[in-house]
Amino acid sequence: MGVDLPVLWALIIGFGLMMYVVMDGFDLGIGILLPFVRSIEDRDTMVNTVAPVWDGNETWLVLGGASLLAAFPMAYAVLLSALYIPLVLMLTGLIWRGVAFEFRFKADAAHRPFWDKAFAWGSYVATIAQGVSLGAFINGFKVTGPSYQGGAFDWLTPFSLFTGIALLAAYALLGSTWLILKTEGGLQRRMIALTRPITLTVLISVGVVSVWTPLNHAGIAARWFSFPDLFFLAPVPLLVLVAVWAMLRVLNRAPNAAPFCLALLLLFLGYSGLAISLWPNIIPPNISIRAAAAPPQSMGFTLVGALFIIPFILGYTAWSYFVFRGKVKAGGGYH
Amino acid sequence: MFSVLTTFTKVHVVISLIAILAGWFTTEVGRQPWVVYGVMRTSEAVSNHSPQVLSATLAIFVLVYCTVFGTGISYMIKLVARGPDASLGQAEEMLHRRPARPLSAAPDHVDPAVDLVKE
Repeated sequence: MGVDLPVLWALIIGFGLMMYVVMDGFDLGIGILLPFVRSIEDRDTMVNTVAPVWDGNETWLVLGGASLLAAFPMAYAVLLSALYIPLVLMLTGLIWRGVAFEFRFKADAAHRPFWDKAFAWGSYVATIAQGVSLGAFINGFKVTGPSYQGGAFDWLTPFSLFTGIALLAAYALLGSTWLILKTEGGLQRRMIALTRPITLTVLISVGVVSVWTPLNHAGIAARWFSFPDLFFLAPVPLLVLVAVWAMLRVLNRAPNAAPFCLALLLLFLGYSGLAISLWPNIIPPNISIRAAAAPPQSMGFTLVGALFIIPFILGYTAWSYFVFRGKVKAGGGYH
Repeated sequence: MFSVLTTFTKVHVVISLIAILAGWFTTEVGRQPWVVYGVMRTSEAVSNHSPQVLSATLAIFVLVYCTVFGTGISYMIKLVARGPDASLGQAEEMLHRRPARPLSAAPDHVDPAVDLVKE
C-alpha cells in the first residue's frame, strides 16, 4: 500500500533512540556532575530533579531494543553480539545507578557516600559504554551471512574510546543545562560556571569526531564532501558553531531554559550528522535497512502495535514532566 | 486462627517460589534441543562468544545482583525491625499522596502537601 516499512521502522527506532539519548542523557549527566558538587543538600536537589522521571526515560532504550528485534532481527543479532561486552558493562552501570537512586535516600548517613559514589560510577560506566558502542558502530562490524564473525573485543579501538569520553561531555552538558533549568541559587550558579568548559569540550569532541570519521571511512567522506551534497549538508556543522556561540552568550545573561534548549539542538545536530554519515546502513559498513529487514508481514504486524503504543508513551511522558515542572527546591523531597 | 494464617503465609512464600522455578525449569529444559520449538535449534542460535567471555559476564551479573538484592533485603529487614511509627494517625496521613514504593515504609521525608491539607 505504498508504505515503505523498513524506512518507517528505521525512523521509529531512530526516534526512540534519540528520545533515549536526550532523556537518559540528562539524568546520566547528573551522575557525571555529582562528583563536582560537594554539598549534600545540593546533591539531594540534583538527584531530586530527575527522581520522578528517570526510570521512564529508560523506557526508550527498551523500546529501541525490542523494535530492533521485531523489525531488523539480523541487526539485533549482529549488533548485540558484536557489542556484547560494552552493553553488559552499560547494563551493570545502569543497575548500579538505578539502585543508588533508591538506596541513597534510605541509607544511614555513614553509607550515603558509598551510594553517591555508586551513582556517579554507574553513570560514568554506562555513558562510556554507550559512547564506545557508538564509536564501534561507526567503525562497522565483520559480518558473514546473517551473523557476526568478529572477535569479542573488536569494539575496542582508539576511536571508540574517544567517542566514549566524548559522550561523557555531551551528557554532562545535557545534565548541567537541565540543572540550570531546574534549580536556583548557588547550585544554578555552579552549573552555569561548569557549562562553559563543558560546551567547549563538546565542541572540540564534535570537531575531532567530524575529522576522524571521514579520514577512516572513504564512503562517509564521499557523502559529506561531494558536490552538490556539500551545500545541502553544510548547515549541520555551521549550526553547531552557531549553537555553541549562542550557548556561550546566554550563559552570561541569567539563563533559565535557553541553555537546555541549545544543548538539545547540539545533540540533535550531532545525531543528524551521524544519520547522514551512515544512512541507509543499519549494520555499518554495508548492510542496509532493507537487507536486515524482517519479512513485510512481521514488520506490518508489529507496526500496528508500535503506532498504538508510542502515542501513549509520549502522552504519559509529557504528563509526568508537566506534573513535575518548575524549580526543585532544596529539601523538597519526592521520595 | 491468626497463627494458622501466619504459618500458611510463611509456607506460601517458599512453595510459591519453588513452583515458579520448577515451572521455568520444566519449560526451558523440556524445550531442548529447540530454542524456538520446531523452528530453530539452540545450537543454531548460539553466538560466537567464547565460554570465557560468557562465564565472566554471567559472574558479573551474579555479583551485581547479589550485592543489590542483598543490600535491598538488609534495608527492608532494618525497616521492619524499626516497626511502624508511634503515632498511627499521622502515618496514615503521610501515606496520602505518596507513591507506594517498596522501600517507602519508613516516613523519612514528610510530604509538604500534607501540611497544606491540614491548614
